[in-house]
Amino acid sequence: MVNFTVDEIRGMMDRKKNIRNMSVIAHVDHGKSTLTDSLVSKAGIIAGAKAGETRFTDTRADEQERCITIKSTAISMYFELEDKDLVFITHPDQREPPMKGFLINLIDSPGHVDFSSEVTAALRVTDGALVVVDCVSGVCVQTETVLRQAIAERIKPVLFMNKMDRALLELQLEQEDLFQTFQRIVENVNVIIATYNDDAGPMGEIRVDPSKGSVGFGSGLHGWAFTLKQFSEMYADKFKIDVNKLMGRLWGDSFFNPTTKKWAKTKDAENKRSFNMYVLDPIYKVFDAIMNYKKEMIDTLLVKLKIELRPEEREQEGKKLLKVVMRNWLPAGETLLQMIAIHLPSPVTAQKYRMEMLYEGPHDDEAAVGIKTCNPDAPLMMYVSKMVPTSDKGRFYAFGRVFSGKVATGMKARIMGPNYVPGKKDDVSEKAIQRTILMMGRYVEAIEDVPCGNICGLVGVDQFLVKTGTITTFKDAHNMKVMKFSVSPVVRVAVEPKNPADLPKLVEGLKRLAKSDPMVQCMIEESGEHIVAGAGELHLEICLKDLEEDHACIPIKKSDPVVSYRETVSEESDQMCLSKSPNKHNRLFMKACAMPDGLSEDIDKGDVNPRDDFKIRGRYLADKYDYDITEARKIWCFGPDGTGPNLLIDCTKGVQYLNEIKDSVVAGFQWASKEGVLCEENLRGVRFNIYDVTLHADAIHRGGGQIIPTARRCLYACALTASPRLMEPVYLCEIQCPENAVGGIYGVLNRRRGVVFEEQQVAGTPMFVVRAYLPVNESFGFTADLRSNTGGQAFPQCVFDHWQVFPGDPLEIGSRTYTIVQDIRKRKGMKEGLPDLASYLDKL
Amino acid sequence: MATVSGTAITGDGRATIEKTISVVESDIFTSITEDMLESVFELEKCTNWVKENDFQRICLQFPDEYLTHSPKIVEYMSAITGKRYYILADSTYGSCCVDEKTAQHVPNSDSIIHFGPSCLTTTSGRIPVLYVFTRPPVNQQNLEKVFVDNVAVDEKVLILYDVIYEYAVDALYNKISTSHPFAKKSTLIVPSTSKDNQDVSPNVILKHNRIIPCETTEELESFNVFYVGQRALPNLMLCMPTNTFKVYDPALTSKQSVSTQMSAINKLIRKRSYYIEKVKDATSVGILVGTLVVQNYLSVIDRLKQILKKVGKKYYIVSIGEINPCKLGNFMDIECFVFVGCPEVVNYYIGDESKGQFFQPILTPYDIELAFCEGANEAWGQEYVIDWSFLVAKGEPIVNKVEEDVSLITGGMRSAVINSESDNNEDSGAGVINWRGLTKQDELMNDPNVVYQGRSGIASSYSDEPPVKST
Repeated sequence: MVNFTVDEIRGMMDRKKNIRNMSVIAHVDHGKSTLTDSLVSKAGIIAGAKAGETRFTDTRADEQERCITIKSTAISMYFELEDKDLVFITHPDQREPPMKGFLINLIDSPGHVDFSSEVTAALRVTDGALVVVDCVSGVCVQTETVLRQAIAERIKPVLFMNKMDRALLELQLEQEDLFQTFQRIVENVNVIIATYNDDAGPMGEIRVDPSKGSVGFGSGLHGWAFTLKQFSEMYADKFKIDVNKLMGRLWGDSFFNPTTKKWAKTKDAENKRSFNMYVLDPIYKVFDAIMNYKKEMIDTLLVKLKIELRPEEREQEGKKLLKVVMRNWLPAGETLLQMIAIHLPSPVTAQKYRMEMLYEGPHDDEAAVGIKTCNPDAPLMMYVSKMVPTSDKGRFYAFGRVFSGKVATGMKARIMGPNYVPGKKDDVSEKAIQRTILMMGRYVEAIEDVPCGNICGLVGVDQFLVKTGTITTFKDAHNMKVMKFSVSPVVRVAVEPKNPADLPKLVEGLKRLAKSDPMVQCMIEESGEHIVAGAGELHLEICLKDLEEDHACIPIKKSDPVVSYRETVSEESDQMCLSKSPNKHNRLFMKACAMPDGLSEDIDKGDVNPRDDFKIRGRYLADKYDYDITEARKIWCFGPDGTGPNLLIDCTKGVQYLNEIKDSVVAGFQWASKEGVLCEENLRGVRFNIYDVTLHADAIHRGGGQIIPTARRCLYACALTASPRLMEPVYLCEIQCPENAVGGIYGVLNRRRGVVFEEQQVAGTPMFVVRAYLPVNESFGFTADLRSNTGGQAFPQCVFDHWQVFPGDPLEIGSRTYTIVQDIRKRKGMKEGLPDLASYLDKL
Repeated sequence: MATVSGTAITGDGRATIEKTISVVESDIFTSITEDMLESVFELEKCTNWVKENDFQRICLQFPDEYLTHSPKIVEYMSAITGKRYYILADSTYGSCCVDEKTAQHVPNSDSIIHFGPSCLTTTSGRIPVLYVFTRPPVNQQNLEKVFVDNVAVDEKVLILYDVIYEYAVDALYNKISTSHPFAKKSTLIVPSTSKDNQDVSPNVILKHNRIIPCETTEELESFNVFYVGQRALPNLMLCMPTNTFKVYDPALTSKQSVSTQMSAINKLIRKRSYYIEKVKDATSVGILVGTLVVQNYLSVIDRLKQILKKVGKKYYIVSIGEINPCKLGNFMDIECFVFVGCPEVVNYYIGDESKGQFFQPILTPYDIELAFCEGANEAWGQEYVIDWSFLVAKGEPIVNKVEEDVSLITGGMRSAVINSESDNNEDSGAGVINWRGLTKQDELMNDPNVVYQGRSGIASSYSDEPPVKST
């Protein structure tokens, strides 16, 4: 722990080249929080009294209880590099001579998929990521997800192989096997990086490489870690080779023959892999000596490795001694902090290439230039990535990163929500910032101002933002881009107060909950249901607990979780659908058909979106999906909400006044695509074509009142005649377990309509990984079921993957889909039975 | 409800034309034969009333279910009195309300006789009205049997009823009052006679123009309710949320049992919370005039205007006679409507029947109160007030300080409303409506025109033209 006054910290904030903002990301249970603790205990700033407490970043009682991180937490650290290490920093933007100290803002994020949104929020405000991989289980689904997100956000990764103690003690891997494991993980990580990053892109080559020192090895639990740099330094004198060069020799297919003293690129009988010989061998020796109580050998080793122990430390034995020795020899904090300082980018470096990903506006306006140059004198641009609850109920700190300019207490700034459009008055307010604060784990500290490149919290901004937003002093500033989450809120629960008189409190509570979590959706539906939607069961459980205990503070009744479905069509309408307006003077002729595979996803991702230039979009649709180019240019709108994955396309030829009813038809389309014909669920993947229109000559007879309901009826008729189908959300589910439990997994998955598509052994371990698709609807209680069927050995990670058509015709009475539709209709208080085509379709 | 026979948005319109107006699924109305008219419609009372007051032109207002009998009644009455009678059918807003508006179309009409179910709301009193609740032939034995079967002798029971069953319930009460000493009966406050009944004892409770002989709410809560009929039930249940209702509807002759119902107020209130969120999101609100007779409707409209202006919403007053989805759909700029009308009609709009028919949500004045007014939602969760007349008594509305707020509909932020002080040139609070041209070319070439006051009058001679010289 380092003790600093706020003024000293403030001083360091100005040295922007000596700042590193980084997040720790990994699969659940790969040891992020434990590893973070070893960093914090080495270099964490302030709050000396709490030092040594474990899981420093798990600030909530339930996090400590469950041993799982739920919210991401920021910690500031200070660390000085020695002169010999400073030479490794070559880029002028990475260090400000003669400063040796580095301010490291670290965000520990949750690993459980249900909380991925917290990771996304953390990545946004950082420039580098420490990717932690458990070397026993290897690269897992969540490792890949977060890494992919990191690269998309232009976050540079470094890798840390954790839990080496387990590899040595539990699995007793041979040296060569361990090397192979390491190499495979490095390869796996690099494959992911290569898939999502272009070496020729603005970030350049960001692959991790042990020989460059961007991969660490060790054990967070035992508090030791090394990179090849540490070992190279040990051997540099002996070999008379430069540290840098030696690092290259200590990794990969590099073999050394101790008798001939020759290096080779290939293995032969005489030589040995240098990594095994010089890196692993000493470690294995220490482990062997201590765990097998070889007292003399321990003493020789201690001398050889120049480890000095205090007498009381020396007296310990077994694992405890092992920890002490390793921690003294290869202290984790030191190693990791060096790796972070040397390999992760400073804000100055990172913002240069991140600006275009961060800023929506023109890339040459004042704000863009301010971000790009990380200029504290430019206008303020700050992105608020999440809200952190304060001790004051219902109030939040707005947590975020200053990208340009300075944010100061009392400063007047524009607070822009995600729906702000420059020049409009919506979703923007101009208010004074009550207070700027430093956020360090559980503690906050007031600070006068914070310059760009730093992470901080704001007081008094929370009222004007729901979850995220941009804060600026530049009048013409555009928004910073909103974050894209890798998960969707597909699991929903309806809540109501136990005492009906508490309804207003519940409504207030829902509003607070909506702020406190980056992902959760709280809404009221027309049926009067108050809905909380989250990424998964665990996420919802936590949200509902927060709602009950912190936000609404009233007892709450919860419904069973349900999933939201989507309505779609599987064919083209079997007839031209005609609907007449109530006054019979207007006629619409339309058809529906399914969109080609992949287009819905393209729209979800934003690759095809309503703001595109219609010519470019038309070309894209024509090239990729074989759409007729003239039709593809005449997309009237997306829906629901103007952005959803359904299209309304004008396929008419020469209809007079068509444009005049466009607004009304679009309104009807938004209505119909939001509340589908089967059970008022959203539509997905449906393309509606307008083929012909007959209109009354007199404008008043073709107004909204005539056209909106007619368009809706016509669209419903189109959907009903195009073999409507129901879609359900599907999880990608990854389960790790020992071989003997695999049978149990299959049993559980089969019962739950799960489909296994991959099963493989994690090389070098007895563990198996099973990957399967599991309908979200079948996932409730899955974890518990799986545990009881595998003796607690299998642990699943489920992440929303895609929408899948539910087999079966919902219009066929007695089919499974029919039952689901009826259940939904009942829940929504709709008439039971099937929608009647005759009430939507008219005859000529 | 026959009163709002609007074209459902899901219907195709044909329904309206071909619809046989199926009035309450009843035999008791169709079973009225010619020789029963005199007793059912209390024609003697009517003729006496006409004679006493010496009215010359009398409007007879019928609900749809009685319309078939109207010619006979007119025949009968003119034969006795020798005055002119006019039949008012297809009431403008609801057949439960006295249709003064239509009566005004009859030249020199001087009185109205309102037949059938009435919502009993106090009218403006511009024209004398006689209420005839009518006496449909109820099987009195059945009624008594049902009552005796379902009400214990020592049960505290309060008898409430639809107005058309007043006489039947009177008869019932006379029979059972001795055997059931704890039974009580409510009485109706008939608007036009209320002047005589001004001395309503303070020791009673008034609910929807019914006098309930209970001194305190606590006392009322200890009663079960035996309800005869159906029409006014939803509203009464809303204002008596804790009582159990045993409902018997004599009109359903096939069904001779009671159904026990509890107020669904919790569900209703949760549903309303959706609309309350919705109106908070809206930028423009239409005040929908659904009555021209109910007392105080103008003051309620004024109050709504004040509230909406204070919270910075644009508002429009929409008076379009009978309301149907097509008419409202033409107001695409309006995001929400507030309906000002008699309680029974309001009940239709907040009930399930109207769901999915209207493009914009329809709210009640009480919803607006809950959404924007200080202290209004203290009682929210326990009661829902349909009868808005009490709002008028509250005086100047005090609007909640508008704070930034999360919308539970869009999930976005509701930004602080720019107070109308900044743009005080807009007196009405209504915005300027733009007009868009017909073709693409026009749209590109010209800026949208601003609406301006056109000429008025009739085509033969507009008001801005010199009067046509008579030759």
